[in-house]
Amino acid sequence: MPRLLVNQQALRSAVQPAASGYVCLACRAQSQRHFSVSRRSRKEQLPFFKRLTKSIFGDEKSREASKKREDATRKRAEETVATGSVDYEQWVDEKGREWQRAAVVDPSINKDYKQSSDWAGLELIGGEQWVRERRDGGEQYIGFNPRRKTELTNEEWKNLLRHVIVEVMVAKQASLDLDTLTADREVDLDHWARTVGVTFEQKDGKLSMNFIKPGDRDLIVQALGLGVPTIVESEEATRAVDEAGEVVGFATDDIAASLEDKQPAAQDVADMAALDAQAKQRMHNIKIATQVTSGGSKHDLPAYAFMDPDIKLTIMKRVFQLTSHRLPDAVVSTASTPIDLYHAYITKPAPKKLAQTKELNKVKVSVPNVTVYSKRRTPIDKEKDVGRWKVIEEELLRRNLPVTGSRYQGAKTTTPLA
Amino acid sequence: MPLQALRTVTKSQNGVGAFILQCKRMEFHYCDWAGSSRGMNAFLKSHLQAFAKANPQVEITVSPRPGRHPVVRGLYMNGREKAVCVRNMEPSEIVQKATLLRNANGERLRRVTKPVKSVNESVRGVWDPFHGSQHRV
Repeated sequence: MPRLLVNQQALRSAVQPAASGYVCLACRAQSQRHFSVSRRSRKEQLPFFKRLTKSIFGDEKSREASKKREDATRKRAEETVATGSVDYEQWVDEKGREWQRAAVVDPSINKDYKQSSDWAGLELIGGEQWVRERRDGGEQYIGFNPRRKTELTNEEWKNLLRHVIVEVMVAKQASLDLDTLTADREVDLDHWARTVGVTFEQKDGKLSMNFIKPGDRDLIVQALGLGVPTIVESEEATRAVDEAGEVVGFATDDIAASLEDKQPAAQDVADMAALDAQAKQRMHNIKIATQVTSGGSKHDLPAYAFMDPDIKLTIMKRVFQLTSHRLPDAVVSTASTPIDLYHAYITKPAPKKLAQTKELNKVKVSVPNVTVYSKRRTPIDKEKDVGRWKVIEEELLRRNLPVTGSRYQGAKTTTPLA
Repeated sequence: MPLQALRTVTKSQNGVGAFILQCKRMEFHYCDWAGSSRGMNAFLKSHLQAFAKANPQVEITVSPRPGRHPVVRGLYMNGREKAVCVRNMEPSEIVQKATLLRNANGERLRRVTKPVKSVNESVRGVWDPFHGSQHRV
C-alpha cells in the first residue's frame, strides 16, 4: 500500500499542474512506469484443488519429462549391457567439455552384474581430498607468489634486487614487453650468477652495465625466454641506452649513495612444512640463488632514479613473485631509486604485540627475575607451573568429566561419551 | 625459694635481625588493543627494567590479558594477594602503585586507632591494686 500511495502521488503530480509548475524527473519516471494495484486476476489462476493436485502429483508436462529421463536412463543401462563394461565412460556435453561419468547399471537388465554387499574394494567417492584431486583436472594450483614470505638477509636482498634490475634493464634495452619477465620460470643458478655479477657505472653521463663475460647479455635474454635479441653488437653494446643515447629507465643524476644496513641479520626461512612440494622447491631455489651469488654483493645497487614508473613496478612485481613481499603504497610512491627499494624491503614492520618488541625482549634477557609471556596465562597454565595439573587431569579423566570446556556434542575430550 | 623468671620464647619480629620482604611476586597484566593500557604498555617498555633490577627478590611476570584493563597484582607471604587496576594511568603513576604493592604486606587494609603497636605490655609496669597509693574507705 505505501508503494501504491507513492505511485499515486507521482501520477497525480505528473498529471495535475503543480503550484510551482515543476515536477522532478524521478516523479515523472515513476508516473510513466506501468504499475498494478490489484492481485492477479483469479480467472488466470487454476482452481485451488487443481493447483494442489498439480503440486503433489505433477501435470502432463512434468510426467512427460520424467518419462523422458527414465527412457534415457534405461537406454544407458542397455548400452552398458551391450558394451559389457561398467567402468567410467567418456561423455562430451553441449559445450564441448569432456566428462567422465559412471555407467548406469540396472540389475534387472544386466543379469551378469552382481551387486556388492559391502564397501570392501569399492571406490570411495566424495570427501575433501577426493574433490581436491579432481578439481581443476587434478592440477595443483600454486599461485603467482609463494604462500609464505621468504625471509632474506640484507646481502640476499641486494643480490635479488640486482638480479631483477639487470633482467628489467636487459629487457628494456631489447625493447621487449616487461610483463614477460613475470612469467613462471625455473630458477637457474647460472643465470642468477650472470645477473648478480653485473656492475653498474656511469660513463660520460650514461649509465652502463658491465657484464662478467661479453656474451652474458644474450644468455640473459635467452634465459628470460624472449629469444635472441636483435640488438646490433657494437663497442658500446653493454650500455643500457636507447636511440637518443639517454639512459634507459634511469636518470643520469650524479648521485653518490652508499648502502647503509638499517636492520640486523634477518630471521631464518619460514617454516615450509605446510607448502606443497613445487612451491617449496621454488622458494628454496630462490633462497639458494641469493646465497650462492654472494660474490656480487660487494658492488652497490645503482643509485639512479627511476625514469619510467613501469620499471619500478616491474621490479616490485618480480620481487613479489619471488618472495611474496609487498610494499605499502606510501613507500612505493616515495621510492625513487633502487636503493630506496632496498631499504624498504629490509625494513621490518613494527611488531604488533608488546611481547614481541625490542624493549621487552631485552628485559626478558637482561633481568633474571622477570618472565614475559606472549599469550594469556590461563588457570591451567598456572596449575601446570606448580605441577598440580597432571593430578587434576588424571582425576577428571577418572571421573569421566570434561578436561577442558563442557560436555557438548562437539566437545574435544580424551574419553568417549558415557 | 628464689624468684624465678618467667620462661618466655623470643617473639620473632620481621626487621629485627633480618628483614624479609613480604611481597614475593608481582604480576603485570596489559592489553595490546585497549586504550586504557597505553600507560601500562609504556611502563613495561621504559620503567619495568629499572623496577625489576631494584627489586631482585620479587618475582615479576608480564602477561597479556586481552580485552581487559591493565592490572598490577601482588602476591604475599601470607598467601593473600592485592590487585590494583591501573587503567588510564601514566607510567609514573604505575610506578607509584607498583611501589605501594611492593612495600605492603598481605594484611587487610584496616583503620589504625592506636598510635603505637608493641609486643611489650608496658614500660613502667601494668597497674595492680596491691602497689601504689592505697585508698581507704
